[in-house]
Amino acid sequence: MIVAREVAGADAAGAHGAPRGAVVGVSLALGPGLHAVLGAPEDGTIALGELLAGRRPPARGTVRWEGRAPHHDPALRRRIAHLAHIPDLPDARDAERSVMAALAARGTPGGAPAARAALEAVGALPLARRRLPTLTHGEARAIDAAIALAHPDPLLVVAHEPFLDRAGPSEAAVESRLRQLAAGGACVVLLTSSPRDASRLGDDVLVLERGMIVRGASAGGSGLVDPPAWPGATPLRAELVAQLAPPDVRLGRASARAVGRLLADREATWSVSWNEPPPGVEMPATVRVAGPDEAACALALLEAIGAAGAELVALAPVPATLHEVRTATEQLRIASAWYARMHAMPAPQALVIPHPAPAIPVEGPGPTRETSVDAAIEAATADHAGGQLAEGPLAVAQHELGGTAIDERGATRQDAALAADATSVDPAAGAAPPSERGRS
Amino acid sequence: MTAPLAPVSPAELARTGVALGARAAVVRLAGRTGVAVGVAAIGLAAVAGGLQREATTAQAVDRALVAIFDLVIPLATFALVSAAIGRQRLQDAVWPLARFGADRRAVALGVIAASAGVSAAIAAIATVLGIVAAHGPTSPPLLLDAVTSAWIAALTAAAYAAWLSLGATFLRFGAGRLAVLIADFFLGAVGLVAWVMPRGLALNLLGLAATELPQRGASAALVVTALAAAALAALRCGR
Repeated sequence: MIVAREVAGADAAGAHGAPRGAVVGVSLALGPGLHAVLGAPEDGTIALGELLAGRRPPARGTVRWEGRAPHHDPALRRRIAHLAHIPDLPDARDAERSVMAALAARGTPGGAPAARAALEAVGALPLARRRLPTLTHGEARAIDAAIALAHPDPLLVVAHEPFLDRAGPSEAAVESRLRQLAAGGACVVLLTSSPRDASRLGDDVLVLERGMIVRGASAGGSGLVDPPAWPGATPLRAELVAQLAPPDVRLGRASARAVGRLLADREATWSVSWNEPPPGVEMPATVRVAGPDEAACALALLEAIGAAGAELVALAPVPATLHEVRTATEQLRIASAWYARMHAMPAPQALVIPHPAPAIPVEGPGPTRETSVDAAIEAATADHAGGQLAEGPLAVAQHELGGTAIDERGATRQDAALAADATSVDPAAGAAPPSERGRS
Repeated sequence: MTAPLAPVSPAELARTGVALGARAAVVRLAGRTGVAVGVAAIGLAAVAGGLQREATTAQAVDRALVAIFDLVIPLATFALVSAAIGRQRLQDAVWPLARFGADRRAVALGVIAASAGVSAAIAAIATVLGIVAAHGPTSPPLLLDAVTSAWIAALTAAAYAAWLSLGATFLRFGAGRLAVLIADFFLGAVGLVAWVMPRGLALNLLGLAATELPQRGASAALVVTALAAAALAALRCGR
């Protein structure tokens, strides 16, 4: 299990070696499985990956695998597979020899055949004879992926955006290998800025924002963009995209525009847009519809398609963006500060719940979820509606990672400032949300 | 996918690291920059020798050697070490191999050894060509002079490579190597520093310096300081 305690450190991925991102006081414990860390490089994903892989020592705190630090232990680094944001390939005459050097440094037997097999596994065999300076960034990353994924027995796999900026067609191969390594007992850490990749692959998702793990979500990323249930929260924005068969007058098939016109009047939808191919071009038209509720949007869309007489080819939700995840996080943060203000307590008190956190099943239209954060907020809001707020914690992301419970505080300096501000407010002055009361 | 990792002894890990580091450095040095630096160094030495002979044949070889040891060898070695390490610190230069499990110190020693070897070879060739170009009727016997100067040049270049590698472990982008070069240029032949830095010891070996070490002592000092600098550079890279 990789354990990071109060780790701080920056990368050197900016211009002229300047830091692009940093982590400040990250604590986590990750066991076997596939863990996604969601955030942009500026949030510290590169820095976190480099710290976990032993690229550089932490400026503060410790990173340990069973008491051994990756930065100081070559034997441990042999067991770490790292797909870096910038591929640091060993210098060699060509890509194949570079892979051979990497495998030799790792102590993997096999020589040239093993190198070719590793390249072939990710569809990068055609690059084998290329000189390293002639490789594009994506091609070099494909080589790096070949080396990382060829590891026969890794303890830790750190993969930074394994599906981006990478030449080669084998996205499925990469995903399958990552899952295989995780199933084999490796701790796979996926660092990505794509909520879709994080939700799709991660057994759990940790949200890294401005250098801190601010919250998390369980498998499938449920709850990543759900706003907290409090009066001031902005509702969730769900978006669907439908592909329709091209309009055909003879067959009585309506256009996407007709569907869009019908959807525009629906209360379930906030916005509708469509795109139709030019006349004579045989390709599907698309209709995008957004609203607060995904199921209601889908229903409205199907009804409109039926009423207009169009033919549905495919329907899919548009994945949430990192921006939407950040917005949801910010709402959660505001909700916790609001709770602290109402109880005249410092924000950290409002943000922390003691171990073990009670996981409250939340019944909803979808499958049953267990999220203590949402449940606590919903409970607090429900009680507030009744004129009395429940005592207790509000916003803590509690995860069961590899059998070990850890918590990530949502507290930031901003929260502390809000809480400090809140403590000076008379609790009897009322419990209106910040949006209504304003802050002086 | 492949066979599981077999345990590796520390000695084997070190051996592999040195070999891989040296191989990677040789690949970098065999690039355009390395070749250009080698050709330029040899050409400059030959031109320096020719110019000194054109000026006057008296002591032309000595003057050519001063030019070669003062400028050509330090600058060529600086360029070669920079080519081997790149525009980064030595600690960062060893990462491409260290990330897969090689010992940073071993890789660093391999890089330094390769830089020192290539620098020594180029320095020896340049010195011999400079002596040949400067040789005149009043000069000492050519063969003996060339052989003696060649090994001194090789040893000096290797020492420079070690010192510059040590410098490359300091400051951003390894800019400490430039500080070492400047310090050696201005202070390398002065006072006690001349007993440590390559410039002072090399001039001593050539019989052109103020220090009064015997040749064997100066050679030993050059070797010991070079080894110490290389070891310190490797230690600064960590594991």
